[in-house]
Amino acid sequence: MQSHIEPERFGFTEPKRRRLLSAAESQEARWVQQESERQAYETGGGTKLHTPFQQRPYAEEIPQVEPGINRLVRHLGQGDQIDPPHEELLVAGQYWADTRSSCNANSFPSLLPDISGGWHHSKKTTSLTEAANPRLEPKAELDPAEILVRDVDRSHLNNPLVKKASANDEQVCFGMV
Amino acid sequence: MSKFALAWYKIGICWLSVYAHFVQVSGLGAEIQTQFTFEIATPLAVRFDSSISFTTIGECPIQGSITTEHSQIVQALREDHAIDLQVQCVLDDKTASASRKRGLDSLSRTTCSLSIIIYGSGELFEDIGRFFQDSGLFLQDPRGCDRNVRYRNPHRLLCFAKVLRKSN
Repeated sequence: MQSHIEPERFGFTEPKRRRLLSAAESQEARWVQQESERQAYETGGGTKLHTPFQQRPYAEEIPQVEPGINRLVRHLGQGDQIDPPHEELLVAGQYWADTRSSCNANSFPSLLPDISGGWHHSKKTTSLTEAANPRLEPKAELDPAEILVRDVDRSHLNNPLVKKASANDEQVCFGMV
Repeated sequence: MSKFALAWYKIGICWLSVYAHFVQVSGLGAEIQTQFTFEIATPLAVRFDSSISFTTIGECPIQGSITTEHSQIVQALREDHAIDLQVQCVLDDKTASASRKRGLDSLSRTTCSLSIIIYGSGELFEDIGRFFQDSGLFLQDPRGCDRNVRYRNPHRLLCFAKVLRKSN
């Protein structure tokens, strides 16, 4: 990871800029090391990891998660009492942490902010396609087995003598010759 | 309809029942040999008496006969107790109006058509479709059904969406 911090623009002092660069480089180095260890472990050429591998988060997948986690940590660090919304946030964050290692390019846990500023989560694993189109649902297709006579024959709608039958009736109309 | 007109209507129907004992079906059409001066409200509910004859259901039953061309089909349908038939007789308008111009004393041949709506178990879906296809008949959308059940036409392409939109 290359730092894009511009000291002149943000007014960072040189020591602070170096500290930031160093931190970024060390973080990148940790990710690189973890990735190499993971690949070596998966291919069988390496030893078992001492700590559970935490896959590098996909920034494009969980942009809404990190702020929530940071906010939770900030609250906890300041000794704030965890009220119900924060408790919910804790659950969401824990769930995210538990499932983070299983994140891959195709699935990730749904974790969405709610209107009250908290978070709600769904244990349903959402595909990236669904996440990109949350409103996308399969088009409703007419099931031929559910088409009733009245759908094609409107001539008897007002006829009180017509037997009332439901779609559950076993009898079927095959048409007319 | 006034009582006077209604009385004459019933008389006319009875005249029809007396004289209309020959109804020939051709191509699921019919030809009524009868004499009447009143327009008959159609379709008339019909029941098969045999593979070659039928009778309308009502106060003044009208008997008719079926041509040999379709008698075998009717016989096969009647013999299969797994299916339920709803038969309707619809008079042809032009023929009926032509018949009305004639006097009561003259016999006229009035054509009509027999519509048979087939009901049955869904398991017969393929068999029904094959039977009528082999007979050279193709199932159409029903009209005048006396029950509202599932509609599965083995000869119909799955374009029900258009039908539903149109009917709505």
